[in-house]
Amino acid sequence: MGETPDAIAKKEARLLGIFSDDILELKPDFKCTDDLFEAGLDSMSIMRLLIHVETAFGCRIPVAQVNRENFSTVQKIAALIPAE
Amino acid sequence: MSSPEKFDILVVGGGTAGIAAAVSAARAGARTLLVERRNALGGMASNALVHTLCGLYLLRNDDAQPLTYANEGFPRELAESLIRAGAASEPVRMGKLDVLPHQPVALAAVVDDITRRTPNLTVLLHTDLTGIDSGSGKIQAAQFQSRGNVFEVEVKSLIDASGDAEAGALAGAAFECAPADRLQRPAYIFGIGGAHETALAGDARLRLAHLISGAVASSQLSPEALGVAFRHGVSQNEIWATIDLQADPYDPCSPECLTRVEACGRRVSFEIIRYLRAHAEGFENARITCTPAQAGIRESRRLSGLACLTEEDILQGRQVENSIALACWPLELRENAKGPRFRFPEENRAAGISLDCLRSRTFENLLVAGRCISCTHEAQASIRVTGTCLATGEAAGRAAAAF
Repeated sequence: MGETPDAIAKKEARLLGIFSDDILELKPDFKCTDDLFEAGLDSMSIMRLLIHVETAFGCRIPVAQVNRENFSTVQKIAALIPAE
Repeated sequence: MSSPEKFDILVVGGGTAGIAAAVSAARAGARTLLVERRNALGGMASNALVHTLCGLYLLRNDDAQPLTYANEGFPRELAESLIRAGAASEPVRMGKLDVLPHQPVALAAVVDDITRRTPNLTVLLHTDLTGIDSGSGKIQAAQFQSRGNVFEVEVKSLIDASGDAEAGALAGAAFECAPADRLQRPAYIFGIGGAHETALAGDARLRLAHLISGAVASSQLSPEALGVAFRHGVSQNEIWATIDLQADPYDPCSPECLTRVEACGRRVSFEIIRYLRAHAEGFENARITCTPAQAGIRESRRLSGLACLTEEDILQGRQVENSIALACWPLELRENAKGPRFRFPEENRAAGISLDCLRSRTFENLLVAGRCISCTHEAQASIRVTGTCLATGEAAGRAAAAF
């Protein structure tokens, strides 16, 4: 069964919260579709992000899905996290 | 002990600021002594294995704008000498910034050559400053020791290029230091050889991030490993690993803290290389090729001067009347081991640094150059980079020679 738009929006908001709390300094109007690498995402911040994702969502994103394209926006990263 | 030797100028600290100061002062005709406690000149850019020279070029809005040196003179001379000697590659654009990658040990050799060919300049390595005599608002003499040999020199002026305002502190000059929780954090850098040349290609850095974060989460690596980043050196066969350390409780002027930082850096470096050899593609035959003579210190004391460069000066790209150098690097804040936060100046403008930021407010013949000039904690996050250190060093050398 696919995720509801509500569930997806909730997951994205939670992930955006993780980003602005501890990963990157994001502008207040930063959107889930904005480029994270432009905003300063690098390999060091991805390490911390993966640990936060594991703690918050109880899942580990598989290494095969870790690439620049999949990590370019909050929306794309959220899509890698299974529905709760 | 024989009677003290007399020098016009004493430069304390053989980092990039001290080299620039000593060479510039000696070229201007001043009898100059440069003392350095380690076995090589170059400071962070050799002894701490920092491998990119930052702050050499003006900020550019895009690649189409030409690359321009922010400070002609010694910064440009050294950059071009390094490139000619094969000790640096060509400038590289990293995001919004242009840097010059260099080989730290080769930089030390290039600088040996420059200082050896400079008349009026004496360089003493393996020499510790132990004391300073002052009187009537002036520095008069300095004492040193090397391998148990004690000696003294009389000086007309002193340039503190120690990075830690060490000479100023010993002399009793006014200085400031940010609270421990705000100080820019140190980095431990080590060299890796034997990795496959594609070990960092494509998305490999992101896969390494995945691997290391998993190892930290499962307690196979220490949490400090989360501060590591990998980058190619001048040669594709060379990889540098930089570990940003939180190092709490942090005090870069305390030997207890520095001992802990160095030991932690070494321990985590070997943990990381062992883990990569066992688990990371392309790192099967990797080995540590060098560890630093010291951890990279970004901030400690700042000497209090006749003027103080501020965050606003940098962010507004302010010009000053008696500007002696341009600060062109953004504020690069590293107050924790979670990676940098950058603040860019308006319209990417460089800010002028006044000579008064290099003049101690306590002693009239004490100048300062490099990362410990008179500035705020925030402004220091811009001016600490090598390009600006070279420029303030050159300016201090010239000013002291004219003293």
